[in-house]
Amino acid sequence: MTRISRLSIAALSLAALALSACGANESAAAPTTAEVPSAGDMAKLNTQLPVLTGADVWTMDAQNSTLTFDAYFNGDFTGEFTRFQTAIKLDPDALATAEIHAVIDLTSVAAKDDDVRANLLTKDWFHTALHPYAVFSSKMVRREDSGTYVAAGDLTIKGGSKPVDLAFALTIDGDTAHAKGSTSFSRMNFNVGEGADFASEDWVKFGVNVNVDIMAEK
Amino acid sequence: MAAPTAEHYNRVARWLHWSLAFLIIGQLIGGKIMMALDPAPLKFEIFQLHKSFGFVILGLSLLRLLWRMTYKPPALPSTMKPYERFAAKFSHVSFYVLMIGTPLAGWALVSASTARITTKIFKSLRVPDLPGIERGEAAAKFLANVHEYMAFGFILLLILHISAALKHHFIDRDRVLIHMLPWLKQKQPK
Repeated sequence: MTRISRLSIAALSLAALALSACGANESAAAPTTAEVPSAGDMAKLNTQLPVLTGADVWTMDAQNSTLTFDAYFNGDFTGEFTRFQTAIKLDPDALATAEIHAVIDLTSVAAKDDDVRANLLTKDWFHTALHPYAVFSSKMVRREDSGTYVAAGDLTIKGGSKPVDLAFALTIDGDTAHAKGSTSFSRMNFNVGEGADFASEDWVKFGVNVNVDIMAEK
Repeated sequence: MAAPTAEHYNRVARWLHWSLAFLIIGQLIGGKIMMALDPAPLKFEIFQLHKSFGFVILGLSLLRLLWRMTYKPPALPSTMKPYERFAAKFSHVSFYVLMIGTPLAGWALVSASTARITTKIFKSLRVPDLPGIERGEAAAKFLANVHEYMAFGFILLLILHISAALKHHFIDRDRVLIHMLPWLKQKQPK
């Protein structure tokens, strides 16, 4: 075989390799990251919450409220849930009747990169196919200090419930309220991160902070 | 008139041989170091590099196999005994099996892993999972063992290959090593 024909075979095979690699690049579309919640999304979330009544019931302003979490995988990172809804009944002068409920659409998670998001949806993590929602529910709200409160409640993730204390600072200005708070727990309390790779803190640490920043109106 | 047998492997064959030699030895050492490291961002990055170089080796090996079909390599010395010829042939075929099989086993193991870490060659070229592979801890563990045993086989084969090349050059004093290193001078026969 001549030198020219050998070279052309090599060039062709290189081109074929490059093309197949590019094709692979296009076909493996990245999973979509979380979108902005629509009215329909919020209505669907509302069906997961109790209907509260009274003059001290607050309606969340979804556009100006955020729910984020701090975790560790290859370094600290902050993730976010873009679709969540609350049902809140809270009068600082009548804490005995206060209730705080929240439902979080776990499929709305955005975190670090598409790999982390894709992993979080799988059965080793949130298992959203079976448990699409996380729920927080408290009927015990106490004042810690002037303007700071603790809601002692149950957090349900992946079918398991654990008590969780949500500490928050609350400012009420007429018909507008702003609550900013956080809680911390181990992801292992909820079997989030199963399997040999994640049963230790080697790759993903156990500790997670969840941060809420809620704007609400009466 | 019979065509004269080649003096050396041709330039492309030599280039592929030596670049694959460096890449494969680097992967074997890198793989060993990588597995010994504690989990950390550094270990993660080395894993990604190991996967990237694995795909480079797979691509170059397939190219090399294609290229090998286009030419007649230099003839083995007539002084070689039949079992030596068989050993040479067997080890060369084994190299091709491992050069293509080891990266494929690595790719399969990544595809079976319950940790979905997208393979991006040198952080840019996204590689899909191998089709037909079920994710699961048992499958991933099995494939990890296959990949590791192949790497171990590679080390044994490299020892055989390098020892044989040195024996040909320094003891038999024939031209076998010169086929791949044309600038070497043949030792004077004893």
